[in-house]
Amino acid sequence: MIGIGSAERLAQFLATALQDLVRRLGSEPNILHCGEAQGSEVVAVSVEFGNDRVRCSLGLIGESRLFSRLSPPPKPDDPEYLTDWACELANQATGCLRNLVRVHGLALAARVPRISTVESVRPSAESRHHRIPIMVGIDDMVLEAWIDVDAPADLDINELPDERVATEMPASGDVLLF
Amino acid sequence: MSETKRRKSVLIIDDSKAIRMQVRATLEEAGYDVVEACDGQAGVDALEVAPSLAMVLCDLNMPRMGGLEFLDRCQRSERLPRLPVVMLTTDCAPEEIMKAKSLGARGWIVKPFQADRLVATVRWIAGEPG
Repeated sequence: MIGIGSAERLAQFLATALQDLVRRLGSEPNILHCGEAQGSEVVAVSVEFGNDRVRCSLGLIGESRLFSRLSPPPKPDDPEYLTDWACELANQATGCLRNLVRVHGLALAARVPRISTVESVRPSAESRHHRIPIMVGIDDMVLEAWIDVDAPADLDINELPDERVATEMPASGDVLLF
Repeated sequence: MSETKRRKSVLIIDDSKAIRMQVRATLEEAGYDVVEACDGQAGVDALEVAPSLAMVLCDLNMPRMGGLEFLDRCQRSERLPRLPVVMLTTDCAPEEIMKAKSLGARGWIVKPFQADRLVATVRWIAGEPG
């Protein structure tokens, strides 16, 4: 059973998460209405996350130079590094998303990200109705994010954030010492 | 007889090679040596062969052995050195933080980390580099 409303809400949270993450990595994101990662060296990665009732998959597609642009130092000119960094970015994007929805009452756990193919992340024109795209412009490049959500229509994602949980949770970059 | 002063070493446990390289670049620039492990089991192995480490930075979600299991293993083992461990993760769930704290973690850093805060944390926990 696919809850389109839930999927759209999760996609909205993902857009927020991606913008926040890109800003924290020193770039200014622009949400685009259309676009596609292009170039001779395009990297695709994906990560699954969910719980007993929800199964999600997040895919990222971008040019190597885009992932290099978002990388903190060092930035070795090494395809293996950039692919691994793309996986880590998917992990961090998923983390930001999971932290956002947690404040709205939905707990999701993540799996380990993996390298994918562009074809498996970017759906064909016929199968796009259940996979929601978020296109993020960074400089002259496009980061494609695709989220697949398999969730019941009655999935509870609270409209308002739980202020108590929000104050308990650290933000990206925060340090807690015990 | 002069004695060469050794720099303090920090063990970074993360399945992302990119994160290990970023942590290494940040801490080496601050004067620390860095030892890398790709998961909790490799971290346990590193502690067994390099017990003179000053502290550990550890990811949470990794294949084979995750960060919480690594903490549990360190706490239960009589052979492994009792080193301060700071978690370095994307996760912010309060119950995960409490679990790590109960297993002896000394801190929690949320990725993406800020280089200056990472160095300040390592200085606070492990002391000056050497």
